[in-house]
Amino acid sequence: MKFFKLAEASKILFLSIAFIAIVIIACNKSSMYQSQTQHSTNTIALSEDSVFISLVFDIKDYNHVLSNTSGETIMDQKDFEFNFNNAVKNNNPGSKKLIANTMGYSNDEDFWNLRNKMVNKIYLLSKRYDFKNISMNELNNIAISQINKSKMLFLNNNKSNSLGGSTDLQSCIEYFKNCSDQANATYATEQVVCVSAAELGWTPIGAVMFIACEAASNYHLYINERTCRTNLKYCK
Amino acid sequence: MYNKNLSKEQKIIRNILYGILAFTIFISCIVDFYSLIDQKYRYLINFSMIGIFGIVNYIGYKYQLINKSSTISAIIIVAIIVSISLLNR
Repeated sequence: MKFFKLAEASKILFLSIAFIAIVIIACNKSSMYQSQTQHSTNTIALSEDSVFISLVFDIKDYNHVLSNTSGETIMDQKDFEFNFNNAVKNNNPGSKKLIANTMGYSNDEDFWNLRNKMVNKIYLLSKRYDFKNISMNELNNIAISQINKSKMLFLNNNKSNSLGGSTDLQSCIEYFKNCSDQANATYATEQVVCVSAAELGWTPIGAVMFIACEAASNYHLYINERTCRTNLKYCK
Repeated sequence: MYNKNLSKEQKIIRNILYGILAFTIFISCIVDFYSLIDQKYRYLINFSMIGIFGIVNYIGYKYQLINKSSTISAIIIVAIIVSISLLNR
């Protein structure tokens, strides 16, 4: 009899350990995944940041003007550095005009305004992201992929506009539906667990357990749905 | 719905089962509130919960904590929950 009890108790212990192991493995897998992908998440977030995208297009414009310059005002590196420092530090109008002309801008204000905008964007991005962990190669690749993506989006938008729809909006709604399905699935699973708590009997512990389970499950659904709606609101 | 004349052993097992269920719900909520798991892997928790539901039912039934009629009621309620969830998609 004693052996029987011991065997049964060990079975229950085994089931409890198995459950804890499943949860720990699931959480570990996630944390491993999170640490491994932290870097890539950072780069993905950067590539999708609207400030970064606008910076890439500023650089593209900057580059476009520079590549179309006639090359009449060419300076050597020392002169360029001297005039650039003079323009930035001393706000010298002559140096400002000279640098703007060298960079292909006939109006020096356009050049310096664009440069100030870019500096502000870089400052903002450096506050948001850790650039120490992103190599120049990666930055270059992100910028190139962003330019390619914008080209594709432009082509797709032209196609979908002719059909009367928006690709961005459709993907946002699809994302919202998936998020909502996930919330409902979680709610349903928790309801199943609550049923099994009630099934064991309406003892005081069982009743408290059932009510707590229902409250947690409903609050969880509310939080999940609110997250889905917030994501939809800020979906670009 | 359940057998009222339980032995000490049955009561202990029932309390353990309650504990397991409470722990399951607790983990399920905490995991989402503190974003401990990527949403991609949320289904692992959901499947684990369904597995635990099965195990709890099996142990409960084996130790005569759940009788036939309550098992049938539970199956019907679970079927309704699953149907509503699928219809809400």
